[in-house]
Amino acid sequence: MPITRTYLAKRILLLFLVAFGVLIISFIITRVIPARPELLWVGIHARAEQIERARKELHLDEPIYVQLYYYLADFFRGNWGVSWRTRQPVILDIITSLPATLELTITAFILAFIIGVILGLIAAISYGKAIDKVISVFSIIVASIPVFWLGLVLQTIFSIWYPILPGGMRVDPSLVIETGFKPITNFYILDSLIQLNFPVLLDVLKRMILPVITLMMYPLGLTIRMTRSMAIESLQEIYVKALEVWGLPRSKMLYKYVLKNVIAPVIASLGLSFGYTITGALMVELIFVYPGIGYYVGMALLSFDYPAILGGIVFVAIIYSLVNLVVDIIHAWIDPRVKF
Amino acid sequence: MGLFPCDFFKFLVKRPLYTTGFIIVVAFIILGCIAPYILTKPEDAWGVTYDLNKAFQPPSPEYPFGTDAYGRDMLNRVILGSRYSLIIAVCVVGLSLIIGVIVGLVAGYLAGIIGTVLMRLTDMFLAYPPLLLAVAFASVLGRGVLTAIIALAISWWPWYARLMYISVNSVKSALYVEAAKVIGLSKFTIMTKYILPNSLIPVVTQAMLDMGSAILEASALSFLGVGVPPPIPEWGRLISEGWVYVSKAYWITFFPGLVLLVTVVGFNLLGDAVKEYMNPRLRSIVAKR
Amino acid sequence: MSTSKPLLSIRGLSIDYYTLSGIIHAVRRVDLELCSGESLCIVGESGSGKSTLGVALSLALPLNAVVKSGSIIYNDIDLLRARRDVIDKIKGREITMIFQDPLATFSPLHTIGEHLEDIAISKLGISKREASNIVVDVLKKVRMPDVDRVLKSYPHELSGGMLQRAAIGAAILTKPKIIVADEPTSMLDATIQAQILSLLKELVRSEGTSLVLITHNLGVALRVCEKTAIMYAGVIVEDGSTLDIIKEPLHPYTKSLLASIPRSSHRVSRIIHIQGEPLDPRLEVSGCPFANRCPSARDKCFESVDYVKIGDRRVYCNLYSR
Repeated sequence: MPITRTYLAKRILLLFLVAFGVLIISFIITRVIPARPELLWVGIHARAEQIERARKELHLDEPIYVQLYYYLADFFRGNWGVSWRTRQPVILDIITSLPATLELTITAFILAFIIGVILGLIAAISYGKAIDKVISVFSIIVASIPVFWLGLVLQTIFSIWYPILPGGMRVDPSLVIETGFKPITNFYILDSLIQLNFPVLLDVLKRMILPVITLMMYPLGLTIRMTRSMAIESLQEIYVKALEVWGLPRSKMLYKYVLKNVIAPVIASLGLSFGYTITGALMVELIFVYPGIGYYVGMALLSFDYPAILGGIVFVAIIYSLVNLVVDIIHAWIDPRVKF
Repeated sequence: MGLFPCDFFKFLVKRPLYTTGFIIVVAFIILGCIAPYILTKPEDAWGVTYDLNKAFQPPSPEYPFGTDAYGRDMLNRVILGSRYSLIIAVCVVGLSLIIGVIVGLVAGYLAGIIGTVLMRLTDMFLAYPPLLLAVAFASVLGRGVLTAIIALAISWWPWYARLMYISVNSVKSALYVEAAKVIGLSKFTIMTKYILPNSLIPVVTQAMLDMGSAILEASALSFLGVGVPPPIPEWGRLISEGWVYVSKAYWITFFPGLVLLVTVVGFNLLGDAVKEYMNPRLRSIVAKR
Repeated sequence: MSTSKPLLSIRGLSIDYYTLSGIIHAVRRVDLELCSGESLCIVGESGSGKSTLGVALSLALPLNAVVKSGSIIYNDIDLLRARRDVIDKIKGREITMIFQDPLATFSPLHTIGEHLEDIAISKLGISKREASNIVVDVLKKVRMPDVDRVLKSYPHELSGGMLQRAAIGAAILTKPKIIVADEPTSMLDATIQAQILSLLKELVRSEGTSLVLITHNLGVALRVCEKTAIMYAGVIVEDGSTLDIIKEPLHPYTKSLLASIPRSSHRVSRIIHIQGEPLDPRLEVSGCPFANRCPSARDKCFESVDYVKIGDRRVYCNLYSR
């Protein structure tokens, strides 16, 4: 478990470097590539003087390095532009909609991981038998389903044709008014628990069912496949034979030794899995009108709201890098062979 | 690798699941190639038709996949859509493969400062969650088949660069490379004649497996409105076109998605087959008694 | 052979593997005996079935291996047909094994200490604290340098020699009656090889343990074992005292094996190798498996062969039958 201080320091340094790179890339996307960046910043409804003012604000007539300087300065000052759609500063929009997305993605992700590992292990232990084939086929299909299509299909079947589950939004507004629910942290599950507001809690959870199921399918499929193939390979390894020859009881052997060896690479791939979850959230939130960052960016895309699009994407990239950092650290903690 | 076709087919035939995948992929490729020539209602497919009388017809023998809001036959549209999926997927994978391989090869073989800089650059691109970078570029570049391809390729090449880098590193220390150096061949020759072919194998295999994901991502882009423009019947586009009407005319969204699902399943099955075939250990496991 | 009852008795053992390329006859009608305190070497090339034999002895045959016939008698128990609870008492406790690749023998994510303590706790039924003491003692016995550091180390942090010492330690923890060592030194450097072999020899001698050493190297056999059995294509073609076999090889295969070792004593004009191809393991053979490559083969050799006893030795060859 060589999580030395140097390792941590190096990783954090890398994180900053990468975040910096993200900014540079988005700078290129927003200022260098477009022919008239000020139009993107200001919106299609802007008047001529506003456009002129934007040109000055963005320092577009000055050399690139000056633009870059002001771009970065703006970024750190929190000036990410204003969304035309909501008429609010982008950074504000992002921070208010973040908790909703986190609730959704973290739930979906944890479910996908737990169920995925369990199913993957079951499949590996019964390699070649019927249950393995069923799980394998299931995982392949599930990893191939287009997330947006699945969301629409589930919504249609379970909310419209046979309305047993709510198909949209995060909470019923009339319920909020009735019960006097106040969002404090914006994590509705937490907030409703704190206020002991069980009707709202139930409503929020019910509304999460369809989006979470849709969202977790792809990472579930990936996790099953990865766990299964890692477990099958591990069971072929010589150390497993050695453990058997040394006479260690099979259950202890499996749980302690093989499981750790199987989980390690699965955890290493969790970062990427989470990335897919985030991307999926974009589409799922749109379909289920779930007011998170995904919905925000999705709506921004459909209405060509550039400050929002780019602000959202940069923010998500930074979160993604953070998640990757955490995953890498956990992986290094479990697997002592990892070096920088 | 010389035993590729015959042994592989023998391997496939024994496994009906993988054979299914193979058939699906071949069918998809053929469909994509001949699509424009087998359309029964070409005006529908290309989006020229505008006949509100025929709009929203449910699936029937005449319209197996129903019709959409403009009275266009969905089956025809889906068939034509396969061509776009094929073209985009092939171009995206091809383009990002070329860029990624070059970057990975140079970074891996020349190493040193060039290598570090290139790999850090790659890491910066990899910092974006999959697809998001493509979405960002596509939104700025505008709609279009070409811009969709470029946007996707920009977000894909880092994967191949990294794979290639790792592959080159392991090939680099092989004995025959040492021998070539000793003989005195130039760095460029060694790079292209020895390192390149040998390190290419895992990368190209991965690329073939990735075709399914490329199709999925392209359709995701189109669904969000930043991929191909209307009236091109790309599958993702078709799904989003049917979004608004999904409660009363489910078929507009359902069938393109179903076909997309089946195609991607096919590619994934084939990908698994290739992976298992190339992995000698998996192949020799327990035969039934 | 001593007059006391053998510790381990293998009779007519045949083992097949079921694979995708067909049924492989790895071990064919093997008879062997091992007495208490004896060191027996099984010598053969790759594919001779020696590893399969070793794994069978350790009761760790893989799922696709089938014992077609024969028995392994230990303490009046047929190990191949005994009940699960009987086997569990013997496996890993009275019969243990050492593998070829010391690095692969251990789980990469667990320390050496964890491995050894787990073995001690589960096979000796002692507490964790007692286990750590016993483990330290065992590592000292295998002459492991820096015992405390090694216990806390992960496999990839140690050298091959140290890992193999740890593996030997794991094998002797339970004071077994039989140790099966499958090519324990083939993956080590030459100098370390010698050390490990001496260690092994000394340990078995001091404890009176029986050793079954599997190797492809006759030199190793000479160093460590009093008795040797030469294996080819799943068949024991010759066995007896190691010295006898090397000084006076009887079976044509053994002769060519010895002849193909380049000697520094005289100039080698060309490298002698055994002509022909090894037998396809999927073929059933009633006669001698070496017949197609044997310079002295006769027609009868392809049809039937028998073991011939010559003093303490045994040969599977028609050349010596009356």
